[in-house]
Amino acid sequence: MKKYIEIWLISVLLAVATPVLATFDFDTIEGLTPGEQYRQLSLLMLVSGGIDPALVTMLQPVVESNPGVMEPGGSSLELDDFVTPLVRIVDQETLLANAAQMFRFAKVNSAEIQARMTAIVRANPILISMVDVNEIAADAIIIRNSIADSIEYSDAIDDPNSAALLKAFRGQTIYLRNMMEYNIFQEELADITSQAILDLGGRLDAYQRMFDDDVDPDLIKRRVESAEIMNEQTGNRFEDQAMMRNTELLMMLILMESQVH
Amino acid sequence: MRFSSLIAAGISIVATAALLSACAGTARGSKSSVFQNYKEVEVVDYSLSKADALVVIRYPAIIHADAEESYFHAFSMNAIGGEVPPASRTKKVTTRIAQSVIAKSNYYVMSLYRELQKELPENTVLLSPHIILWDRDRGLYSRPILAAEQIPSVVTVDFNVYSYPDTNELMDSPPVTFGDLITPLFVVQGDRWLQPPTNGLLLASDPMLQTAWRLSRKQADGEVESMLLATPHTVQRPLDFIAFLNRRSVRDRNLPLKSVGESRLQVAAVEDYPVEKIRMDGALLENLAEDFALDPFSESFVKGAAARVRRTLNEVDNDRATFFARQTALARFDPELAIAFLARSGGESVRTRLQLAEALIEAERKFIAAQSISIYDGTYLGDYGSKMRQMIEGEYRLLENRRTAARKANVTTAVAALALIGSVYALTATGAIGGIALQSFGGVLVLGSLWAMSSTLETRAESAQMSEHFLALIAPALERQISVQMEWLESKERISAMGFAEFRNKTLTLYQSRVRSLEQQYDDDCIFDYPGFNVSGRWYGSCRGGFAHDRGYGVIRDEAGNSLEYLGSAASGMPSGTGGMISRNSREVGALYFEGSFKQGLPNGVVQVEAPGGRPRIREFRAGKDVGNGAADKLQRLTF
Repeated sequence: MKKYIEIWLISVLLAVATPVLATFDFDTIEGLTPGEQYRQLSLLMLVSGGIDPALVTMLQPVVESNPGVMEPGGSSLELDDFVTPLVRIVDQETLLANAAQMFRFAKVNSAEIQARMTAIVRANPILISMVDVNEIAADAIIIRNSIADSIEYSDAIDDPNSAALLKAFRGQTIYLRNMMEYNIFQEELADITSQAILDLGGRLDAYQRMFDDDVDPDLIKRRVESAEIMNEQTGNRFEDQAMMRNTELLMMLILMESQVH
Repeated sequence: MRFSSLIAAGISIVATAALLSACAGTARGSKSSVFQNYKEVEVVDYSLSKADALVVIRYPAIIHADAEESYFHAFSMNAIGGEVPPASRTKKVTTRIAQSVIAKSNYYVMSLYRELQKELPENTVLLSPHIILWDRDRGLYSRPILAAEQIPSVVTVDFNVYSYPDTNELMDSPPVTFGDLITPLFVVQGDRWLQPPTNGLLLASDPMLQTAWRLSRKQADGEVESMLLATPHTVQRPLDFIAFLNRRSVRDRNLPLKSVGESRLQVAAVEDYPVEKIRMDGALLENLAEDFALDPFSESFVKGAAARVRRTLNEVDNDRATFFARQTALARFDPELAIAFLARSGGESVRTRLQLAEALIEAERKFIAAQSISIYDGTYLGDYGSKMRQMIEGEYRLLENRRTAARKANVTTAVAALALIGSVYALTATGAIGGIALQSFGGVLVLGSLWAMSSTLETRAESAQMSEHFLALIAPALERQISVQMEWLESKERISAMGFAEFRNKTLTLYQSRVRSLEQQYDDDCIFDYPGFNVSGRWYGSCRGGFAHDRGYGVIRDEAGNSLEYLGSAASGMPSGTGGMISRNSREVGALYFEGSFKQGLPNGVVQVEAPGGRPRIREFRAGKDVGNGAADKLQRLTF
């Protein structure tokens, strides 16, 4: 009974991993909304960015065992399917063959992809301004990692150059991650900076007005002292947060250490 | 804490009278500065770092009450343009002129700030106002009020105006800043790696040359010391002008100097800027209080000086100029990264962490740039600036009046005026009245009073009495306003400091939450050796077996005070490969800089050599010996 369930489960997973629509040609995205087209094209570019042609060549044996993948409309995976862990577990050969097709498509059609993206941006500036690039980058990182992991467990890893090629590929993925993290960091930093500049300007203006309106040294002294107390409290608040983070970190460490393997 | 205010605008009104007499006879100045010959250039910043500022402008802004007596004394002792007789040094009149120097510097520095800010990229020009302090050990010194000098900057400019302290000598045409006459003092310097042969000093006003040289040398030695001992960088250079007043430097006649001009820009020497008493365009001063769209100081001096600074920015390697300042800034909040930075590692983990850290410094730069704009707005465009313009206009009109009187009458008029002014100064200098708050008076009253005094001068009679009455009338209001002004400044400084501390707290918290670990470990205490040194130095960067190996930074100093810094590749504890080296001999002036190939510690191959007073030369070396000209295309430059 248990064996039948396993076979059934694998069949279901394979069915999930083999969608009807082919992805990596322009016809398949024509019917999508501009925002979705833009997202898919961006994702394709980020996934395929900086790929060494030798890596594509290294995947050639996998492609040859899945000849239909290279035919127009022959892809058996959508871009987003790469994100699902099921695909990686169930059928790495299909995943790598589709990845090779995707890399080639992106390389051959690089100019066309960029032209289409530019056209979408021009036609839909407001829509595209709301696209979260970091979300796309996060997806791209997952896809690239799934491809890299699959290579490790495929026959392609026997290629003498595979270690170096894979290292470079993973290195580019880390670079992508770092860029994504930097973007997020910079956005938060810019918010803090703008707010701090506004706060400072506001405080100085407030003090300036105070002096302009009514000269009362005692009041000024009290205000300055109040501001100092507020500042001290702000400092305390940050200390509390730091302590909380530290506690969280310790908890995580304890949990990791106490995991049963 | 009690501050004497920067906004001592009124002082200059009082100073008017003193200077008036002299100006009557000698109110001349050059119509344009030597800097006017500099051609306008557009600055192109090719630097790799976004963290650095291009220019930090330092100036004396306020003085602590405890430092006043010391400052006044030093001001009369170390006068520019002559020796003040002992009898005149203790006069109260001198203190008023000393105060006016601070007050007017606060105003005129804004012209330089505006001119540079207009031409350079946004948020790259920062103001660094200083407070003048005194303590028993250091004597008179200054420290910055804002954190502007913690931001790496390509160059730092010291600026202030000057007036000779003794009114009795004014007939001999000493430097003054009054009405349409202005005497700017100017120092341009940077990090020691900016121009190693002069320890980073590029230009200095002639009277301050020795002081500026001493400070640059001291700063370089201090930085070498802190790197050698791996202690935090604590050297804070006071304003060169304040250091000049505090202590006379021993005159060294061997300093590498060159005259101001574009012809010898490549020579590694300090530009000797002569003291200039510049006469601004009177037409622009006639109605300055109402119409200041065209700044007379900018037209006569600042545009040229700013062009000189911009030319420097275009000619120096910005990354080289700010490399160690960036390292110091990094060490403040990420010491591990600061060491990796010295190794100039190309690893992704260092790159990405450095990117975050530089973004943090860049954010601080933006914050301080906003503070600078706030100071500019408050000082130049605000009430203070308005009153200063009224006063400068008033000074100018008085001056013109005296010039006319001198021309019409005879020398006797001027001599009489001189006698009168002594009494006016004496009156203003007694009691608790500080000229500081005269600016609180309506412009009409101020100018009206000035005109009244002017008329008195012409009639020669009852003038002292009239001045006495005038001051007695305004005394109570002055007292109150002084107190208010001090509180205002104190609060402003404290709020700014609080705001910055709070901001830094937040950004550092964000940084700490985002940084990832570095893949490679870098050391800060490996052995660094150099042939000829009987001691070992310290190496920061990559090591092998405890010795310098691969990229990093080494520093070494012997008991005689000779020191050597090296940035580049090393092997077996000694320079080997491409690098840059600064060599300082304690008995010689300046330093030597070598950049190119090294082997077993010594220059070997094609090397660029920079020596004090010379142009950079490309030479061929073999085991440290210069064997002739080197091929420029074979020179391997150090990438900062």
